[in-house]
Order: sequence, then C-alpha cells, then structure tokens
Amino acid sequence: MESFQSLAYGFSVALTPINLIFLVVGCFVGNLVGVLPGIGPTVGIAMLIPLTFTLPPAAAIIMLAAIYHGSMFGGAITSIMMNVPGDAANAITCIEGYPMAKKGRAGPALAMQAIANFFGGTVTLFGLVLVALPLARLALNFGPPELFGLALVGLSMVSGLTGDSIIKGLIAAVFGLLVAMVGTDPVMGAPRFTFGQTGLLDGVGLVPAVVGLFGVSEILINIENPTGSIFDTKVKDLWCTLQDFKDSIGPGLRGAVLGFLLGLIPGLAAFIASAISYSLEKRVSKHPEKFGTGVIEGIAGPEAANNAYVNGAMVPLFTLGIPASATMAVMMGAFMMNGMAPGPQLFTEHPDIVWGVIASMYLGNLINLVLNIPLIPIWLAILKIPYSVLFSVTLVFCIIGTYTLNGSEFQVGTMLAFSVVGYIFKKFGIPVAPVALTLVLEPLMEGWLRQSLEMSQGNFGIFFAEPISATLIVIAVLVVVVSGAGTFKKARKVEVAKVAKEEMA
Amino acid sequence: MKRPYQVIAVVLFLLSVFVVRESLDLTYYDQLGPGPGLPPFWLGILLGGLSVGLFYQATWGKVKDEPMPANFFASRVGYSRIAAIIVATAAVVVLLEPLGFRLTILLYLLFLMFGLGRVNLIATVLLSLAGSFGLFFLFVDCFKVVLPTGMFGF
Repeated sequence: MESFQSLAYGFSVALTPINLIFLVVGCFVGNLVGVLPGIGPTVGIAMLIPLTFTLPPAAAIIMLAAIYHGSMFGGAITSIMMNVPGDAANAITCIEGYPMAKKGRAGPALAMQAIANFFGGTVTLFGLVLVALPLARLALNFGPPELFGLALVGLSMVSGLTGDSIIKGLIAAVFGLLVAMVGTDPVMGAPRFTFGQTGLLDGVGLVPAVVGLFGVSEILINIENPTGSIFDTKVKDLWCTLQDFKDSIGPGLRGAVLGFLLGLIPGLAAFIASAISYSLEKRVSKHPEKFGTGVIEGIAGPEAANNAYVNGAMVPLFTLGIPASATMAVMMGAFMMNGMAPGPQLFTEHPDIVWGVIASMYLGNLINLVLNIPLIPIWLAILKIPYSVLFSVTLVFCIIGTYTLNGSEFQVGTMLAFSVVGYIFKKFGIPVAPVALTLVLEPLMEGWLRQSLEMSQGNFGIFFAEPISATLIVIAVLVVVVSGAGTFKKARKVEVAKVAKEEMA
Repeated sequence: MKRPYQVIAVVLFLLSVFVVRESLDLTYYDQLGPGPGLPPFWLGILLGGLSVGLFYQATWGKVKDEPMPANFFASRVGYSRIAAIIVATAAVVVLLEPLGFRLTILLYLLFLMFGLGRVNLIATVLLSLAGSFGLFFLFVDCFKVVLPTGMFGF
C-alpha cells in the first residue's frame, strides 16, 4: 500500500510541466537513438548527460530513463525494415520482423513491436513498484562485505555470460577494472597510473570511455565498407488484424514476466531476455516450423521482454546501487553526476526522484506508443539520409557530449583512444559491456573491499563470516566456473564432431 | 585465425607486466588494510594469466582452426577511411581550444562529408554550417552549455 502511495506522489512529480516536457523529449530522442544503427541507448544516454547538468535532477533522470525506454521502441524499426537491429536488444526481432516485411506485412510487424513494448513496459512496472521498496529496506542492512559480494556477482555474470568465450569476457572485465584504477586512489589519495598527466587525476571518465567503446568504434567498423543510403523498403497499412492480437497476447505476457525476472539479475543483457523469450515462444508454439518465416508471436514475445527487462534492471540500480548492464552503468553515472548515489538511501533521501522516475516510466510508455507508430514515416525518412552524413553528425554529437563534461579537450582525446580500443575489442570478439560496468563498479568495489578489511583488521575471512556475503561470493565463483565449463564443453563437442567428420571422410 | 589472437595475447601479456611493475611502486598494504597497489597488482597477475589462456587457445585450442571472418581485415581503402577519421578527430582535440568550436567543427564536417563521404558540395556546406554554427547556437544560447571560442572569436 505504501508503495502505491509513493507512486501517487511520483505521478505528482512526473506530471509537473517541466518534467513532462523532458519526458517527451527523452522519448523522442530515445526512439531516434534506437532507430539509428550503432548508437543505442548506452551511447545516447552518455552523450546527453552533460546537457542534463543545467536541468533540475528529477527532469534530468526522467529524460535519461525515457531515452532508454524509447530506444527499445525505436530499435525494432530497423530490425523489421532492414534486418539490421538498432540495438543488440532488438536483434531477435530481425528473425521474424524482416520476413514479415518481405511478405508485405511490415505495417503489422511495426505496430505489434510498439504495442508489445508498451505492454511489456507497463505491466512489469507494477513489479518494480512492488519489489523496489521492500528490497531497498532489506539492502539497508547490507554492510560492505555483502555489497562487495553483490558487485562481484554482477561482474561475474556480465563477464561470464557475455560473448562466446569466458576468457574474453574476463579480459574485458579486468581491463575495465584496470582502467577504472587510473586516477587518484580513493583510499589514500595517491595518484595511480596517471603518468604525470593532470587530466588523468580525476580518472578516466565514464562518458568518453562509453561513447568511444560503443559509439565511435561502431562508426569505425561501419566505415570500412560504407553503404549509401541504409534503407530501401516501403511500408503500407500500419495496423494489426484481430488474429494478430489473439496470437500475440500469450507471447506478450510471457515475454513481459520473463524479461522482468531476467532484468533483476545483474549482468544479463536485454538481448538475453529477448532471445530466451523467442526460444520459449518457439517451444510452446503449435506451429514451431513456421518460426523464421515471419510469425507475429516471434515479435510480440521478445519485444515485450526487452522493455520489461529495462524495468527489472531498474530494481538492482534503485535498491542496491548495482548496475545490471552497461546502459544501467551509464544511468548510475548520470545519478552520480547529478549529485545522487543510487542505492537503498535513494528512497529516503530523494523519494521525489526515484518515485518520479518510476511514475514517468508509466507515462513514458504511453508517450512512446503514441510517438512511435505515427512517427514511423519520419524514422524511415531519417534512415534514407546517406551514412556519411549520419556518421559525421553523430561524431560531432559525440565530441560535444564528451567535451562539455568538464570543458576539456582531454575528454575528447580519451573518447578517441577508447574508440580504437573498442574497434580492436569488437574485431576480436571481446565484449565491451563489461568494461563500462567495471568502470562504474570498481571505485565502489575497492571502497567496500577496503572497508570490509578495515572492519576485520585485514582478515579476508570476513567475506565468509556472514551467510549473505558468503553465498554471493560462491555464486560469483560458480557463474565463472559454470560458464567456463560450458565454453569448454562446447569446444569439445565441436572438436569431436570434426574428428567424426574426418573419420567418415 | 591463429596469428591475430596470438598477437593480441602477447600485447595483453605485456600490458599485464607493465601493470604489475607499476603497481609495485605503490603501497601494497598498510596497517588499515589494502593500499592502492594491491588491486592493480592482482589484476595485473590475472590479466597475465588470461592472456596466457588466450595464447593457448589461439595456438592449441579452439581458436586455432577457426576460419578468419570475411570482414576481420578491412581493405586498404577501409583502413585509410578509419585512419582519416582518427586523424581528423585527433585534429579536433588539438584545434578545439585555439580555433574554437565553430571553426574546428566546420572544417571537420567539411572534411568528413565532402572529403571522405563524397556528399555533394552544396549539401556539405549547408550541413557543415548547421552542424557547427547551428549547433553552437543551440547548445550555447539555448542549453547554456559552454563550448570553446577560439582566437578568431569563433
């Protein structure tokens, strides 16, 4: 009951004219960011953080959260029309969306992705409202060892479950941790890995690193073989039949529940939520053989799942101060840069922000639904712009976003350096998401490690003295071991199959 | 696919050696607990171990027989485009303060769109003016964000 009273208060915050204006702006920008391949919510939010410094904190966070939701709506458009996902989370939608478009059913596919996103996002917000407050109260009892254990779980999940190789995932995580250590040491205040550069005393900025790793590196990859205009398909009849709705209700509901639950687990990406939803729909379908030829259930489930995932992922951020994904890490950075620390205290220290943001997400889903479908011709028109113009303009926004952080060209240089790192990582299949996550988590983890060891006078046994921290650390180790074993097993299977094939020959 | 992975593994190993070496100059442990040198020391060791693992995979493991993805290496033209973007953006880093945002970004956009993207000249000029002078007006005058003004007042 208390949660719903707080939610009502949140609506009073979200419905103020200034917050409403920035909510609409955030939804619009989010749709645009989702539509443009290679940008995605992580870069979109990172680029716009400096703009929020002049805004009231509630309006700033509401706008950034709206960008995240909006990008989920926009990202599916290119998946359906071009077979190119706007963001990784929408990649699964290509499987059914593009064949539907080729069969002349692009309109219903586009309409269904918007409706499914709205449905997944709205239904699961009740889950967020119900879970957030009790979990935040529980987390208030967590001490440094428990928080350290929790961060370790998040880190192990994101490194172990991203990509096809546990080694590559761990390399990305360790690299990110090392980069995060550049700057003034949080414990003794000593400069660490700064090499006499004053620009490095504050450490490597999250925004330039993320914009470089995710955004500019993608441009470098795309520019190797540039295409002219990246869109060439027509849309007519933007509405679904009654049968389409009947076929989509079950998948939408299952996708929403699944996406929300997976969002609660730190480290799982939205892509995993939509991928599992798709495979579930194929499994429970009466006609699994039709999957891959353009069935609407394959859009409704995954799209509901990826938007529901965003709500689920908000839970660990709001209640525990642990980002569940790279985008959430950037959101966490945005909170910090606006003078707030995500975590259980957020509910008591800034109830207007946290409940205002949650309420704005209800309104944002509605605004996204209204914006997304009627504006589809505009999004498609934007995609007709030649890529050389799109990437040039994107680069300028990246430069503005990083320069304005603290008015220093050093940040632009940092972005450039990380874009080269991101390019190399992507070429070698090393995931970049763990780097973003560790950049945010490392200072916190180091602080919790230090505080824990101060409490125990240097005894590492403190992490196993309490059941919660011990369980969390065991889970973290298990995730790494199980992921490693899975990779090994897969490699072995491939090897055995190869030997068998050779013997047959 | 063996050689590129071996190279990246060696680079990472050298990085780990450097990190461990640098961390030895920092306080490892004091009476209150771990100092600034402890985390990078162990992370350096871990990175070294992982790079050895990657080298093993590349030389004797599953990566060894993997075929090279078609788009792993870019064409010469592709690499020259990448280099052009990197050099142009590096030039922005150097010129942003002395020339100011408007002039620097005007030149940057002219180069990227006309020089690299072969967009027609009139469209390039109009878009470059909008992307430099237009964005400066939008961000500085409307959003009150500070962007640099150089020695020529732009």
